Amino acid sequence: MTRNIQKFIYFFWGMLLLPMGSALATDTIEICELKAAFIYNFTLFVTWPKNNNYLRMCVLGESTYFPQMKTYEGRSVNGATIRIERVTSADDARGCQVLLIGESEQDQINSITKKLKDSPVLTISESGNFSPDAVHILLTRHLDRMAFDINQTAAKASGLSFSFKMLKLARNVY
Amino acid sequence: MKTIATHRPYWFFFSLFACAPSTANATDFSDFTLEDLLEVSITGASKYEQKQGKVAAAVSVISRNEIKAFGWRTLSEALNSLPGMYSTYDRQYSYIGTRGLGVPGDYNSRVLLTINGNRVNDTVYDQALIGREFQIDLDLVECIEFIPGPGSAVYGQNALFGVINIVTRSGASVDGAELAAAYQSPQAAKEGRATWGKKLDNGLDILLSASGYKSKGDNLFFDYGKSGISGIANDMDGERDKEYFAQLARGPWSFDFSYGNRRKDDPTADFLNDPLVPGQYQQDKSMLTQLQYQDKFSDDTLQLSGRLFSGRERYTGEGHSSGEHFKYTGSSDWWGSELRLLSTALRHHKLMLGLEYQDNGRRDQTLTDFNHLTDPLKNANITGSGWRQGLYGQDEWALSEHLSLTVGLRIDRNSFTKQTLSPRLGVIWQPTSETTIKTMYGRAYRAPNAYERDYADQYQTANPNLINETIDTLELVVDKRVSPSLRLHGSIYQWNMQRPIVQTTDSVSGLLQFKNDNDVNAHGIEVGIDKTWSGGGRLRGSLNYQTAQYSGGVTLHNSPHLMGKLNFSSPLPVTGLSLGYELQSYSKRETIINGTYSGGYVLSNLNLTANKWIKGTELSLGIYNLFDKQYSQPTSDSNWQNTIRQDGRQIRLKAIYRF
Repeated sequence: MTRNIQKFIYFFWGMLLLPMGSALATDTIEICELKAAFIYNFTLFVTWPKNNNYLRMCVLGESTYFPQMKTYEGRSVNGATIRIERVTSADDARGCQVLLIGESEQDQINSITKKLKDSPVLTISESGNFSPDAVHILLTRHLDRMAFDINQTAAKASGLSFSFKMLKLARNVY
Repeated sequence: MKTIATHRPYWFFFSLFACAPSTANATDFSDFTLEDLLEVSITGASKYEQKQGKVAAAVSVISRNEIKAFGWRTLSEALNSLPGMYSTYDRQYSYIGTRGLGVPGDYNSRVLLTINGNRVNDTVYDQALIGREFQIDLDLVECIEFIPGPGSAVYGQNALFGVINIVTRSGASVDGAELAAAYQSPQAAKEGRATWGKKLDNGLDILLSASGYKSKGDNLFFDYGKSGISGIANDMDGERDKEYFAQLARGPWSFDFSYGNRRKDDPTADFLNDPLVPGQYQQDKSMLTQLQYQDKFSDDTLQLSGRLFSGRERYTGEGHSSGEHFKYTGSSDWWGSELRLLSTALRHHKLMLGLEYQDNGRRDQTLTDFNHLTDPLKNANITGSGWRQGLYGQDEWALSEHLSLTVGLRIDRNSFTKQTLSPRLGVIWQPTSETTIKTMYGRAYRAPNAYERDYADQYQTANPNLINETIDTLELVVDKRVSPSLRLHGSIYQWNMQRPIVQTTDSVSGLLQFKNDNDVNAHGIEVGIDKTWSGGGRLRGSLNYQTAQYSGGVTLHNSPHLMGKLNFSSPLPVTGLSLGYELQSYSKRETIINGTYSGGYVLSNLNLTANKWIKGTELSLGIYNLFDKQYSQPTSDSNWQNTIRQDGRQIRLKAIYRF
């Protein structure tokens, strides 16, 4: 009996002392990582009208998963190196290949996409409706999974095309 | 309806917005394909399950949305919606049957129930409490994960037929206060709940909740079999329950505490007590708490989790037998710790190593005869203690993009039986991104518990020679995603249980005694469908066929061959209502007392929820056993009755107010 208590005490201290090695806690949830992974994956299936050395993935406004997006910086997509940047307005975003419209800008989605409708910028958001000049990809929850809808009409108008595979995996294609 | 993804944002280090922390172990999604990502379940903070396609088990997850959609009141009702599961209620406790095993008198000792990974099964009866007696209000559950099949290779004893893990909601998910009230007819059952939860600016996530329930129950007619008595048990079906829950989390640390105190009056006069005598009841006071630490190191390739836990269960039962007033108690106290390392440092490997130790400081059982307090034959005071420890390791090895291998082994020791090995092997083949084929083998075990081994009175004798029962399970699972909105699932399995611990009558003494019985063999097949519609509708259905027999060819009691489940949920356009409808069908089950059958039955439950009718208020109307089907379920041989009639139509009105 006492031996068991002793064993327990060793466990206890072992457990408490081991983590002291690191002071910084990673405080992000899988959903952030999951969404960031979706955004990254989308870029693998989109063709832009012209090739660039950099694939500029821009975030407008505040997004909960900006830190997770940052982890993809430096990766290569079809020869282009990913850069994660913040932009402050839709006009700023014209030179980006991807624009993630942050949660804080959800009210402005229509005016943002309207401004960008003639630029080859892949717009992604988590809300918005699908009109001809709306966001290209809507990332959303469906039951206990993530799902995405594609606005092919709007993407075509901006000069972007999606691979067949991505269209197949989309929940809805408009 | 709030979810993790739509939490109100809060301030965090370098970003204005950040996601809420959770107890989740962070899976690295950076190398997932788009197909993989679409398969990730985001219902809860699962320690064990993130990517169902890659897990060596046919995991089922019941989300909070589903709990709400179908208006489930207890854990057993939610579990009943899963393929091959069937509950049995004897008006005292609910018992869960899985894969053909639901032997009357088994106190759910063959499934492991955990709250946020913390073991609920006590140390006297090994009982998993799954009815109203379960200490967590279902409104506080983020998701229920069921990992069917042998789980001892990671979780140790009791995980013979599966592990049920309850993931609780976070304070951020409540984000304010919730008040709930419900009334159910004809039982005159009232329930209420008050919850407060918030994620504070300093990162501390708090959830506090209290719930209460009181039911008059039904006035049912019972035939007390060979006692020759029958009649209506008036006011003997009442139930009272109080539940408290507290949870604190900050950064890598989390703490939770739960307490339940539930008392159920017994109209059946179980344990062959005197029929129609009021004041006979069963009561359980259950407490469970844990402190958890979970963090990642070395460029996130090493994850460390540790936890300290403690539990306490106090069972009390009172009854009258031959005019004498008896009281039974069972008391468990336990505490322990677990340490787990998960490393992805080695390419293509996911290595896990863990160590668990539990001290069962108290496992006491008493019997008091108030009419003969000094008679040693009619009173018992059995004290005990013990311990168990386990060391486990597992490797998930990605042999190629299409093929992976899971190998696991756990070595357990405990104070009752010798060392036990629980191995596990899984081969997961994904020939295409839409198809997953899993082949799994596993061995699980259960050590005899204190009740089975030590308890002795004038009716039952102890058996210190009991040894572990073990089970070997082989399973083939095929999962096919026909389209993003349609999945099909099929599985075939067989299990062989060696030396099951069952209650028998000793031929020499005529006393009851638990013994290691003949082996049991079973096989079964199950098919399932999961279809979703973009409008928000979902249909989940399954069909299950199985047979379970003792090695002599005798079929197991309370083991239906055929089961069908259908769950449909959908918003109803225009009305602002959501509908949840479930249909369950069970074939006949053999009874233990006179070997007849309780007939098969089909049950329908309907639930309507209105979210938007009144601002901040969610209203729901549940009609259980919609068509008022009369049906019965088998009992154990400590009952007078061969079968026990179940509830007819029940109507529950519930309101949740958020502010």
